[in-house]
Amino acid sequence: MYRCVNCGAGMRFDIASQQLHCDYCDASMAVADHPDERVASEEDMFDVTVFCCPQCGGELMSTENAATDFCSYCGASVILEGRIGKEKSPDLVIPFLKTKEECQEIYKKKIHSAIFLPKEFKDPDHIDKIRGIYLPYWVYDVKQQGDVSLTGTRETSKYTEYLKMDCHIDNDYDGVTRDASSAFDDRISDFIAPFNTKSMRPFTPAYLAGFFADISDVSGDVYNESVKNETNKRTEKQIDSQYPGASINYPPDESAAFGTEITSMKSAMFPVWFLSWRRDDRVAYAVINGETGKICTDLPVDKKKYYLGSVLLAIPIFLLLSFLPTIRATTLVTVSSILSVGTMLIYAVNSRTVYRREEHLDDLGYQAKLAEEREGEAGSAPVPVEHAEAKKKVKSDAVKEIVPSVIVTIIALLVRFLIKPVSDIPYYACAIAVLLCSCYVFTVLIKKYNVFATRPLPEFHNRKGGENYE
Amino acid sequence: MNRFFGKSQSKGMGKVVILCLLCLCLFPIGVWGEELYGYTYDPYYENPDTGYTATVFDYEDLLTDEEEEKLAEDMEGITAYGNAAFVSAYPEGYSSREFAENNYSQYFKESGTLFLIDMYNRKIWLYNGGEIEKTITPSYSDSITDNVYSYASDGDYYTCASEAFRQETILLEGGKIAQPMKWISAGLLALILAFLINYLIVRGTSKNKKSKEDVLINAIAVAAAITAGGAIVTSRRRKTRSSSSSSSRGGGGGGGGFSGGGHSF
Ligand SMILES: [Zn+2]
Ligand SMILES: [Zn+2]
Repeated sequence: MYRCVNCGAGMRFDIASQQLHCDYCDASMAVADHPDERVASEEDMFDVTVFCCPQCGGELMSTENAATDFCSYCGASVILEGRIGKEKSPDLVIPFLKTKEECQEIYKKKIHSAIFLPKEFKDPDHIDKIRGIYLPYWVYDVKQQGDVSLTGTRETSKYTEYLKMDCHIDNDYDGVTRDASSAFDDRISDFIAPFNTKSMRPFTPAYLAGFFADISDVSGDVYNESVKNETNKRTEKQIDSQYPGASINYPPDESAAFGTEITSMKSAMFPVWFLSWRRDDRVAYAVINGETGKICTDLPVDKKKYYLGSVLLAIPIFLLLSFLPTIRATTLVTVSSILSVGTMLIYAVNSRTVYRREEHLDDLGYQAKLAEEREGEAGSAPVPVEHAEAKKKVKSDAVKEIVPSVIVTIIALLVRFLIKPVSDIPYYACAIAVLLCSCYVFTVLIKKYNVFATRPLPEFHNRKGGENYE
Repeated sequence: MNRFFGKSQSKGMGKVVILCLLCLCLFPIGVWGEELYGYTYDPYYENPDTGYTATVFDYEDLLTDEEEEKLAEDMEGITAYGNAAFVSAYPEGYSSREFAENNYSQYFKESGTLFLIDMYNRKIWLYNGGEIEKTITPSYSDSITDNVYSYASDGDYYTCASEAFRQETILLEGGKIAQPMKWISAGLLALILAFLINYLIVRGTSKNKKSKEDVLINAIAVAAAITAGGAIVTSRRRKTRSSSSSSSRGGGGGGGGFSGGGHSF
């Protein structure tokens, strides 16, 4: 803890002035001027209090030891259990640039247009729980050097030309980043990216004063291939721009062709503002990049609000439909069937996304942690494992939820295009049946959407994080 | 037209006479009155509850006497909703539509349906008015004539007309039940559309956007030095020219303002 030289109270890092500030005597001081700073910056370990949530096992560290009364991961209002420890200092840090108030405004603006949001999202008490947290990241420097020989084609008005191109590549990409916490979904880091790695500075615990930090628990090697691929793709684009009009065939092993190598890998802390909301066993996060203000929010829907809003909107649509020249029963069956098929397609796409997300199939950091736990090996990039059970459940749910609708729609289409009864009654009956099925699919869809827009409660009990405290 | 309908003997219904007198009083132009009400006919069947009639005017003699009787029976169901008439004619110089329209206005001031087999234009035509028209809209008339014209092509005029009246009866009788079903399905359709629109709104407003590529690349320090040699053309292949096909569009719009549908046979 950084004590005030005037009064001895704890100082915090003030974002607006980018200095250490004492709230008791209003003293300010540049980070480098603090007497403790010279000592701290020379050590590669620093003192922390690690707070652990008794509900989800999530851990946050802080340089303060004041108790905190809610958990940012699971949204629980509990006193977190603190214990003193030592943590390895990361190499680099980007200090907070956006203040709490600025980020609350960004958040309010983002949720403003979400009309079906549960009302707690707009509650000032809830918004006040937004918490500044440093997230651990890996920062990579990548070098590419080598001569490449490429082939490609170019289309002119008369000919298809076959090309041969030779280039010499000498590229440096400094500051490619990946998040180093398995608790933090890779997807969120994609959405709040980028952090401007040019504004990184050497780490000192002074920047943590008044904030929390998440614990680094994903080995940097996990992302090697993904980092190399990212730079290879960028190089592809540069080469493309050198040969306008040509479509170039790139070799399958680009890293070998371009001579891509990771020359350095450093640990860093990047700032985010973090807000979590909880209902039953789901949580929703709002995460704001503390440097740029870029926001990523989970916005679930209040089902009651959604249904009420839909009924209200249905009234003018109904009036509009009755003003139209009479719709024939046969047309109604066709339109209903098209809507039904559309609804089912949305359902299918959503189902797949939810499944991939709940199983973390696209989260390299999470998969690495999982593989490590399973085999006790760390390092190489993991292959996502699909659980047969989870897959089976998705399928059986789908069967229950949309097969009736599929059958009814097929029957309606058969009646409409094959049986073609004279009377309108069978057509209306078909249309009503199809539309009722669609209503049902929509209720399921909204449930699915809420799963899609939220996350399962985190479970960190088996998380190994923080190897360094005693 | 008179050629066909002038033969019928006058046995005016009470209502018609009263209305006729009323009209004559209101409109001193006698000719108009005579045009409209001068020709009366002998209905095959008169519905005791509604007073609507079923009549067969087989001027082209397409049906046997027996078939005429049977057809009139087939039309009885319709008289619960309006007048029904079968007409076969050879209206030289007229279109089926004009002919059907003129005859209709001569016979029915109220709800009615007229099925015409036009031997001059080789067309069948269904013309509706009043209450019946509310249920059997022009598009239904089209589908009914679509359904039955093949019988006329085969020369089976009785089945052609009988089937048309049968389908009309089904539509009319179903109309009462279909009406509330129609509103229910329209309501549900509106609800589904509202669900869909709201869902799209939700998806639209909740979307998190990733930063653009140039913002991402700006965030990292890039020192790119690509020395690109010229592209050497190693070979070329002449393109095969694909012929462009032109499609012609046919068809045209239908007319409005009257209520009927027909089909040639
Ligand atoms: Zn002080
Ligand atoms: Zn927790």
